Amino acid sequence: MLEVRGLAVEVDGRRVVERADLTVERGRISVLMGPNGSGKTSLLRAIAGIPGYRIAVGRIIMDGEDITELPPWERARRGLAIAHQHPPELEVRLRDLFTELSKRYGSRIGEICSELGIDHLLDRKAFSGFSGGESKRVELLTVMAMAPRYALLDEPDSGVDLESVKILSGCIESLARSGVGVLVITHQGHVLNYLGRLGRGYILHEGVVREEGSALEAFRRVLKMGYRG
Amino acid sequence: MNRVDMRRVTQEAIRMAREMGIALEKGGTLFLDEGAVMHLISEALKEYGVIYATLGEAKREYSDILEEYAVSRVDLSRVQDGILVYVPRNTVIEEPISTCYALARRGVVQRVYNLYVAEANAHMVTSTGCYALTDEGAHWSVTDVHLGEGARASSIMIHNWRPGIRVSMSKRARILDRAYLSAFYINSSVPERITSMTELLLEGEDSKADSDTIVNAAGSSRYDYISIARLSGPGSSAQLLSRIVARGSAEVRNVIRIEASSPGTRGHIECRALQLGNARVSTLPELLSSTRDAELTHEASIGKISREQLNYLFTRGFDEEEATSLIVKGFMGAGLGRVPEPLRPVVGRIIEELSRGGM
Repeated sequence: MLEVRGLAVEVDGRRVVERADLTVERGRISVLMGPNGSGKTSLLRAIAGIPGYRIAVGRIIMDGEDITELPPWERARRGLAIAHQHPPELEVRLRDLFTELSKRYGSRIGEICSELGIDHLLDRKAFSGFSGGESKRVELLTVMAMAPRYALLDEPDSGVDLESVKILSGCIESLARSGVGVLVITHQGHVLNYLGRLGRGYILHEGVVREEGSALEAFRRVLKMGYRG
Repeated sequence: MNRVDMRRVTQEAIRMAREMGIALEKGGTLFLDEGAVMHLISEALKEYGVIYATLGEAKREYSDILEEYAVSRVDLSRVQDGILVYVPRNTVIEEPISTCYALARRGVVQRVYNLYVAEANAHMVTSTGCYALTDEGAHWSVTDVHLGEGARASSIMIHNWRPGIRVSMSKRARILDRAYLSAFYINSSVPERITSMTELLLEGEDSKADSDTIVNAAGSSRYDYISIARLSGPGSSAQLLSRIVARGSAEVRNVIRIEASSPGTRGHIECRALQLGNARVSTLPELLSSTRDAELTHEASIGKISREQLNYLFTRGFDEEEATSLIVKGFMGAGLGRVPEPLRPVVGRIIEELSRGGM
């Protein structure tokens, strides 16, 4: 279980998340929603340990281990992966990135590459000139290549067509089926239409994360009443 | 140096060549200090009538070739040694012709002249290694290349010097109608100073040259590179690419120029530098055209590794050193696809080693 307890996050000295309490269970897909600029991405980045996203208060516990003070690479090596909403263009050939990840985590992703239709991107610099859908698929695949215990997915369904949403949903569900605990940030909620194994639903509003029952219940509540609910 | 020492030093020089991916024992020439200590011509080269001679032999037996095809004006009496490679017309040689220059004796000054000739429609692949086993000395070289009509040449040159070594080299290539030169150069060393001048003379119609330069500058070394492509043949084209990784307090000056004087010519310059330390890098791409019908472009950049890239790789489990190494490997290896197939594994391995911090 990945537990975030009373987390406050600061960026450039400014408090962007006042208090976050959430739990991600292995084999389930939990969902985090919130309006634009509410701090969802900052929260995920702080959990992943990215420099610049300072944890002012609170703890992060992964399967009983306190990882709050660990550098990001140690968190990743222990099984915490994040799919970035906008991965940066890397000076690294995609094939080399996958090779390194497969070596490091003992994963095999060759077949999935073909299934996701990204074979043609392997000899290009990672995320250089990729379409929105290609970026999302490749990013999810890098997460899968890490064979993580927990995956934090930042808007995997934004800016992609419905066909891609279906493909990405299949990957996310297969992660959960294999025992990975998944936390998905979603804006439109498209991805929820294609996902099983849904877990808890959270809403981040005005700096505070609150639990709203199941993921579907939380989504329906937002649709009906908005974030203020 | 006594006889025993010579044998040991030669073996050490051959071993170093092997580490650089050049298997001299299969055929090739090793110059140690002032002269050749090993010169093996493979059966395949003999069979195809290829001339592969040391400069001493060439002056005695092939002076006509030296006179006819030389591109530079060099007083050969001031040169200690070198090689002549002559591939007859319509002859395709796929195995690399390998030559190594090593400095072994402290304070030695090595002065060499090389001439590579591929006659009409001939193909040749050459690999050259230049390195030092001592910490003090100098290497001076002039290399001429003549590519006849429709000829193709692929070359790789690897420099692996040591601190205290001064290097001055010049290369001139004359490229005739529809001929193509692909040249790959890697410097992975920290000499005291290196000065390099490359001039590509694209005189033939539709002649073409691609040049890739990778420099891993480090220490307190000084590197001066000047590359010029002169597009005087109608429809001729050149692409000059360089990637410099500058570490430590190295100083690098990189001047690249393309001059177009004939219609239908195309040229592209790309010089990129990655700064990892307090090194000083200057890069100067220059395009000159005296014809209305030329298409010349350039891109240049100097920068450090972006924080975004590092942060991304951190979240994939790479620490700062590993992430930097992965990015440097990608940066230097961007042109690997252009390296001719027989030489690609060598270049790939060197880049792999350099990305981890040096050879």
